[in-house]
Amino acid sequence: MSDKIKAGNNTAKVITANRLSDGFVVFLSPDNKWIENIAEAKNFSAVELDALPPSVLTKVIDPYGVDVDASGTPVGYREQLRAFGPSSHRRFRRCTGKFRLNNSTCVPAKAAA
Amino acid sequence: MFQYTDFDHRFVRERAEQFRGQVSRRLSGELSEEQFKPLRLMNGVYLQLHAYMLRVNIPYGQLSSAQMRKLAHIARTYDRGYGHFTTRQNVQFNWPKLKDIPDILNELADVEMHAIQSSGNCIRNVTADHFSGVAADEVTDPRIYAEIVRRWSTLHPEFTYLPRKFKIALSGSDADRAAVYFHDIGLILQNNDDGETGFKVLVGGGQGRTPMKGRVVKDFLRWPDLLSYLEAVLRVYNLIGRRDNKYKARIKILLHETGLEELKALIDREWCFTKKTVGPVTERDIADIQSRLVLPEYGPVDEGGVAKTETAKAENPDFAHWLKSNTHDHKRDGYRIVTLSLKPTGGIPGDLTADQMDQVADLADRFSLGEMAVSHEQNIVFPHVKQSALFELWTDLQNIDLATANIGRIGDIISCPGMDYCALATTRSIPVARRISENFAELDRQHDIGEIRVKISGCINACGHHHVGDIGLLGVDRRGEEYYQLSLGGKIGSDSAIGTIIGPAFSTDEVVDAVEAVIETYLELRQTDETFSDAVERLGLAPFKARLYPENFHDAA
Amino acid sequence: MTLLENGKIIDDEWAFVSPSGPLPTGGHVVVDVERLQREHSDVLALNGPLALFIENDQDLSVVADDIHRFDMIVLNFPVYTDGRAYSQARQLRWNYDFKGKIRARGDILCDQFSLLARSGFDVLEVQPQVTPEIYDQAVTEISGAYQV
Repeated sequence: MSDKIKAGNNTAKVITANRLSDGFVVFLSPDNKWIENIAEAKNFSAVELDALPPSVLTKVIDPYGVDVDASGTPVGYREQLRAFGPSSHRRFRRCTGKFRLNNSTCVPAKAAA
Repeated sequence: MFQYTDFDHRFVRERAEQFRGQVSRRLSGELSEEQFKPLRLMNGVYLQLHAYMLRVNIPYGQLSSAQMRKLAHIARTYDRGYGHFTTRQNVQFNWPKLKDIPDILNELADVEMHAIQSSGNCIRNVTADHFSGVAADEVTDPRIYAEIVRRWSTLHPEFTYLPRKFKIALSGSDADRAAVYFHDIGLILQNNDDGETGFKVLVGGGQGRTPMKGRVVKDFLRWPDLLSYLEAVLRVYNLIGRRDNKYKARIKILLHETGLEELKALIDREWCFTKKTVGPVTERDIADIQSRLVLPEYGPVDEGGVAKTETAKAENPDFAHWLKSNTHDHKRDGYRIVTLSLKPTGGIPGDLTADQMDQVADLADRFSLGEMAVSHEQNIVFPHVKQSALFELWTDLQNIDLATANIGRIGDIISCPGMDYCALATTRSIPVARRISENFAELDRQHDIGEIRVKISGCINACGHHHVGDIGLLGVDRRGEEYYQLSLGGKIGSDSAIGTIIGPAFSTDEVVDAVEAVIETYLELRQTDETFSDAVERLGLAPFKARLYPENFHDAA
Repeated sequence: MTLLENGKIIDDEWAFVSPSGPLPTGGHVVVDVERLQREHSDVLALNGPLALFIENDQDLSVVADDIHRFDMIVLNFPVYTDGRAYSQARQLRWNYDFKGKIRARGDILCDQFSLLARSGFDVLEVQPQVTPEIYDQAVTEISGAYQV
């Protein structure tokens, strides 16, 4: 009955943080912009994480890397909550891009390749 | 309710503007996050899982209808249309934008509200009995003294950067609805044999990682000495409280490590000085505050109306349930204290939508002289309801889903927001609260089970007060799965006790059944009219353990 | 570092004696508690203005007998969130009736100016960009206080 998603193998990393101005959860896009949709986040290797320009970092608080599986779903339930919104208030779930709402959680819209 | 002065009004406005400056310095980069964080915390601004969270201070829970309407407006305009009422009588908004918060604080200042010191390593919201001023069992109204302590603690120059947070609670009756034994300082109002008013002073209570019951440092502190004594305690704590380890920095640890007698001696030594420098609280101070306490204008008893209420009670079992659980004895004839249940079956404990807030404000105007109080159990209290009006109020409350007849019953679950919202949490708590609520939805059964407090915390910080629940649930993470430790026997009051963990934790799939099993065990073994709390005390944990972990027991206890 | 006394910029005339260095023969001298205890009579025999630097984890009672021999006491804020020196300052003023100057050093932001003034500090070591205007704004932005 657990509504958590089991993450698959082959994890990559996305960078996440909270945006300074409004506190919302954001992810770093391929063109170094902070966006709210994890589906559009860039996959990083560990090396690139350390090389982010300061101007990118000043817009957010405490950026860090999050493992995601092949479907782009975060490994770990806390990160799933951050990416998709609280399970307690359905209206705040954001299953955007390649995720769709299933009960109170977000699942990949189509099966991982 | 207190009428605020021009001074109070100017103070909150200026504080809001001060924070506007601080936000601006943060957004420009002049302040780093590390520099800014303690400053924003002192204005109630947390960074949580999904967004900032603003904790608005509601001094000892007292709220007017105008203030409630303002909260509705803020929820609607700056947030996502709802608010959450907490176990410390505050209200939280979960989605404010930092850049909007100075405006929100300004709006709050319109109705003399603020978020000053609702977080940070400073003296927090002073809390008191949510039935203050009206409870039939009240010895003395603690609100006068709560207001004195609130003013003394607000932007105190010396105590703004303490080792850790500091929480003070006041109680005016033996019932201790304010959990004074679990605060850094608990003040129990009493009268001595000479009829003088004073306080039993408790220090070092708290929950969290190391739950401890407060110890008596002063059996009877005369009321004039209140502030000088508090100043002495805080000064000692500020100087020698631990600052090396965040989890060992509360005064309860200092008390534990220093010893009661030694700590008392240190406080008394400092008190010699503060008696002269801070000086006594005077009759004039009391009179000044008393004069600003707006006393309710009670009316004559409407005997006909009261009779009608009695008839309705006899004819309507749902109304009878509600009267029994959701209303309490008032010190004044012809009146009842009413508690609005913010725990609808399957709902999120303590939440109100903006629409509900407006509706509650309207009902408070019609039924409670425009006043209400936030309880420690995430409900709203209407302190001044005419007995003759109860049926009408109940009907109106049903229309806005706030009439669930479960106050003090198993459906009246106290739960922290948990990992759905909180960055500190290890597990979620709200889904468990909802499922337990649904499991025990049936009202007749809830009333048969009787008085019981289920309290759920999503991590060991214990914001759900699980240590003092009849049934306490603590979420723990096991290899990425949500598990819940179950404890029994917690309680507040003069015989306060910290609950005992009953055994290995239950998975999220098992936990509701575990609670059900505990209740069934109680129902099977209880004596006539024996509450859950008394039954646990009499029986001990063994029969509950046997039921929950049958493979460990060969015979029934 | 800019030095403010009651909000006005002043020159810093004080020399902080290093723990291992010799005691100077004249001028404005700041010694620490350990030095005072170790070379008690030499320190008190110094001519010229004398100040004592007390760490924020030291109990004032260990220097109780000598406090009034000093023109100034220097207190420390290792990080601005460590507020022990506020209590030390209040004890100096209230318990010991200290009438000399109290100076604050360490991590101090303009957000603490008002608290420091109200706790009995007269001299503040502040960041170089702080001006008297910034100080005035900081100490007046909340115009009243609930406490004495």
